[in-house]
Amino acid sequence: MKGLLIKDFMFFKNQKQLLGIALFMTVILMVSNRDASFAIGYGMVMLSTLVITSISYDKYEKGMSYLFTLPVSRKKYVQEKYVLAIMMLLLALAAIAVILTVVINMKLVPVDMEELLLTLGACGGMALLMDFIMIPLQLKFESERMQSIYIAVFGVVFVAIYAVLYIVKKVGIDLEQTVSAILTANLATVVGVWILLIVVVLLISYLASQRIMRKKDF
Amino acid sequence: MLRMSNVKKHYKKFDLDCSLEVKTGCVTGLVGKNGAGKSTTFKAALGLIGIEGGEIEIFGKPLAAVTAKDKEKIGVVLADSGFNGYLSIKDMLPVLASVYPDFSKTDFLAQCDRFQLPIDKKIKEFSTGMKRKLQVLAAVSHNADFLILDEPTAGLDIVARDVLLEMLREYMETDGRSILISSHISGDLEGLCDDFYMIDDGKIILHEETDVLLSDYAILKVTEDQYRALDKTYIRRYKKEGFGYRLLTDERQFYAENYPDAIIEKGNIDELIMMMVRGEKE
Repeated sequence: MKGLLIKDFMFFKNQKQLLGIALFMTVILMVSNRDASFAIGYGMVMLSTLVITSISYDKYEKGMSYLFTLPVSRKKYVQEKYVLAIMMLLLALAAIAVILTVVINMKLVPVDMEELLLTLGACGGMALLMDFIMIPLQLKFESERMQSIYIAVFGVVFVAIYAVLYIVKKVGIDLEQTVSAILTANLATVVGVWILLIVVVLLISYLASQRIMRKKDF
Repeated sequence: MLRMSNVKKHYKKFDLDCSLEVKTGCVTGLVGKNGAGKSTTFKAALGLIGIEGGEIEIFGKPLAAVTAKDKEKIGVVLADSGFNGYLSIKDMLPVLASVYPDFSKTDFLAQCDRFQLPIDKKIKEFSTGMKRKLQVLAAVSHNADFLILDEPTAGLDIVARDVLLEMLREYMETDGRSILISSHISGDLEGLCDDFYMIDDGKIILHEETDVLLSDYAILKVTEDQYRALDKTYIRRYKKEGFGYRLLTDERQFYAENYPDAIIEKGNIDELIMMMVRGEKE
């Protein structure tokens, strides 16, 4: 697995311009909005998409065939992608911690610690969920088909969010107040459910990925 | 080293049904026209494609039991795939060192220098020949016992081809090593292989030792009258030509002694493939 991780970090090293732009955008968004939340979400999602990108890199010019002639098993390959997803999240957290320390010390962005932690938990979880949903899809489908799958996945998410917001509005619930009330009253439960959801999706995704790779011809 | 018994793989327009064996200490060639099933055979042997029947053993173990440790002892060149194009040779060095404990970075870099491969350039910017050289160098860089080389000389100029073939001969000087190799250039294989398998339409149509192939097999050119009078016991294939018939035999001596008027040419591998594939059976 070490060799595979080295390979992926070599890919990322070659993407340093893109990573630099993402870092720059995160700081700009944070400072210009005087709000950390959106920038944290942006930074985390940018880093987590690299995991999916690494799979499409592996597939470039049928590269996976050659990859599996090396002493690398399909099982280890799948495991490595999940380890990479978690490593990327930790890296994103470390980068955000550094940025936040600087911007808070320079008094560029006001920060409410409790809100910040909630944002980190929510965005970090979303980034992981995105990776966990996309890894098996990226393994299953060829890169050419992934574009339409991306549109489909994001379309479903968008429609689902829109539907929830529409229903909530129709019923006459003040969403922001309700969420705030739930978080205040049942924070531990919400965090627990959120973690449980991530773990369940991880398990389903991992098993699906292993199955896809076992059956795949290269 | 490798044994494939009745290995079957079905595609929409192609069926593989192949048995072959690579013995320890031997270089075995797999020849056949494009689309005959060479790459499918290589991929099946490497476990890259699932098979629907038959058995594959590498190092005496069923393929399913072959571990990453076993794969450290196999070096591979694939015809249609290679190192990831987004990386450079320099990027690949720590990866190779990590997956192959016996990888010799110094030797590998010296060979890259010998073959003028730039180590900082992205591999996707390499020419086909450069990519192929890189794969062969990587395959022999980690002290493998078994090389599986699908078209390793494709896209190489004659000098580079010669140097690579020399490298493979040097590789075979160590006891206990084997190579399974395919090439569409028969000259590459004639001087290297101990035996040949010929594949056509997914099936092995001929297996013979190189010495036998070059000493006993021959192309006979005969007129129609000569053909009618000919004892066809040892004729494997025939083909109607303008002058009469072109025949393939595996008993050159027999026809040389009994039919001194017939034109008998020692066939090279290309001509054998041609006759085996395009000729008709007696």
